[in-house]
Amino acid sequence: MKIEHDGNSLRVSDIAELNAVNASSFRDEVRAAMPSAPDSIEIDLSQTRFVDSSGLGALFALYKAASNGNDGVTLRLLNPRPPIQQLFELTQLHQLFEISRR
Amino acid sequence: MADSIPAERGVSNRIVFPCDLAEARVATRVLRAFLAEQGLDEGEQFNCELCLAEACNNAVQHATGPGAKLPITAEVICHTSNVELRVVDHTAGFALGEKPDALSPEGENGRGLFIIQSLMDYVRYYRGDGENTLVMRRTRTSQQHRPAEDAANA
Repeated sequence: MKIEHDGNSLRVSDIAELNAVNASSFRDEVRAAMPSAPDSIEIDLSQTRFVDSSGLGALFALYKAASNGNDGVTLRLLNPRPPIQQLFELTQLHQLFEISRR
Repeated sequence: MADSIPAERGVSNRIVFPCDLAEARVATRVLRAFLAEQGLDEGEQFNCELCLAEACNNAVQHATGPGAKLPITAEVICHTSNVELRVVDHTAGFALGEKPDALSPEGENGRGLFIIQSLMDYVRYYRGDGENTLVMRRTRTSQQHRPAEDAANA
């Protein structure tokens, strides 16, 4: 996994899976790297082949951490593969994150 | 879907693994590769892998006492018209309620059963004495057999 800072923005990429084994460490690592009041958080899922409910929980935890008292933050999930995008829609995560393709 | 299905030939694969999340993940990957070999398309493979993962993760995370030392069994049975997934756990068991109409996006936990009930056509949980079986079935949309090598490289 790669975490990059650009000013007050954070970008996470090179995530192979978000599953019950690694969801807690993913959440903790990204949360630790998060600026105190980020402008944007982007999570690039183009390399991510599998997400389960633990992974969804970790994404929700990051949404909470980023948006806590910070209504202006932009939260994006980039380039999820079709089955994973369908999972986001099924579980309503697309209401919390903007899902976009670049 | 009816509680009983007509007898038809199926091809199955069963994995018994220790009560451990990392072992569960390995098992579900192997079973996904088996499903690819049986001709399920990428979407079907993902949905089945996800439901197996949710069931196996629950089996690991809710096992306590002596049950946590017992192995978990995950099995897939591919029939021509449907695929059946089974996970045998050694937890205290749970009551499988009706699927809620909608899920709140909030919360770090509690999506696993909703996902299973949404992606599968038939879900039953059979509770026994120290051993329970979650049975999940889904009608197949694709039926092409792929050589094992192609499936492994997918």
